[in-house]
Amino acid sequence: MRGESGCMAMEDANVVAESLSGNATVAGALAYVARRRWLSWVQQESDAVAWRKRRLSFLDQTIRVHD
Amino acid sequence: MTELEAILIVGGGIAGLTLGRPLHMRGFKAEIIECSREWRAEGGGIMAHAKGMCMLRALGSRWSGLETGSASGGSATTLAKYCARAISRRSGATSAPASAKRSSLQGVLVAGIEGVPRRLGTSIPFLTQHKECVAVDFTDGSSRNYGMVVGADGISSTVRALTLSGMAPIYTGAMAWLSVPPIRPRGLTSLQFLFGQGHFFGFWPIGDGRTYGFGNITSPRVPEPFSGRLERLRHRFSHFGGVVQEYLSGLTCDKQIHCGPIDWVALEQWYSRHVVLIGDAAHASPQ
Repeated sequence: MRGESGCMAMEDANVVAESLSGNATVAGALAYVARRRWLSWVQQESDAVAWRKRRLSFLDQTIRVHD
Repeated sequence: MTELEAILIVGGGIAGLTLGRPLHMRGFKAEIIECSREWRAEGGGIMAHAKGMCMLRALGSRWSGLETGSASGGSATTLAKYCARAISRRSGATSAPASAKRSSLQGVLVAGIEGVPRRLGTSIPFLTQHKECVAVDFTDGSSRNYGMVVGADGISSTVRALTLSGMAPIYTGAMAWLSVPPIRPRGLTSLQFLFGQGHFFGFWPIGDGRTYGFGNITSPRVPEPFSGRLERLRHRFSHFGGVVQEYLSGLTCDKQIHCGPIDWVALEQWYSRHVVLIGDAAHASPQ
């Protein structure tokens, strides 16, 4: 949805801030972030949307060429 | 905690600014660098869910006056009112989203990093990860070791290129036309989309009588020079109906319009040892 990237950026910051507060090492902090799975999930969803958008764009332009 | 004390946040956008304050408040030696010489907020509006509101709430009283509006109906309200509802529900995703002007939000976030060291007009040409730290060289000639570097530097992230992937963003096949003018088409009280072949135009009413208008055009990637944008935007949506025409006729100059390709970054990992990516640097999403 348009405009969501800014909110997702804030949520990323939230998760990273939490992870750094509760862990004494970088490895521990990253493991915490990984457990939350937030960034990975957003990344996967973004990829899925991107592929759909690219396919639709290709189909749309193909249809218009053959119209 | 010594290993993590010094944290460099690269990028002074929404992600970096949002992270700077809680780290500073919790005793980390957080530092923000931004390659631009001034705080910039490109784009149009932002849609905020309950978790985003939680982060804003942590900024304290500074954000309470930020005007926004409901994207799901009703009249314009403020983030403070919205946040009260969102926090009370605690379920986050079930709350109605709110929207705000991106530059207004950034102004609030910049005010919130008082006390956090920051350097504008500075970027990082080199970054080397060691076993215990990250050695960073800056374009101002200085260098320093950090326990962690956070790449919050957007879709064309330098941190990502230096640590994880040099892959350039990929064009998704659509161009976005964004604006947040002081215009409110008659009868517009909620999020609306209007669809045409290869085009759509959406509206969000936000605070202060403004509307976030976003046009999306499926097309090959084309340069859209600043000059003449308003005329081109009107032309490209000339076949749309009433509410779009009312909105477009209310725009007054090219400066009100942001236009750019919708890109995407295919990235398998968002961290590497002492470096973590957040925001568009990690998952730039086509919208």
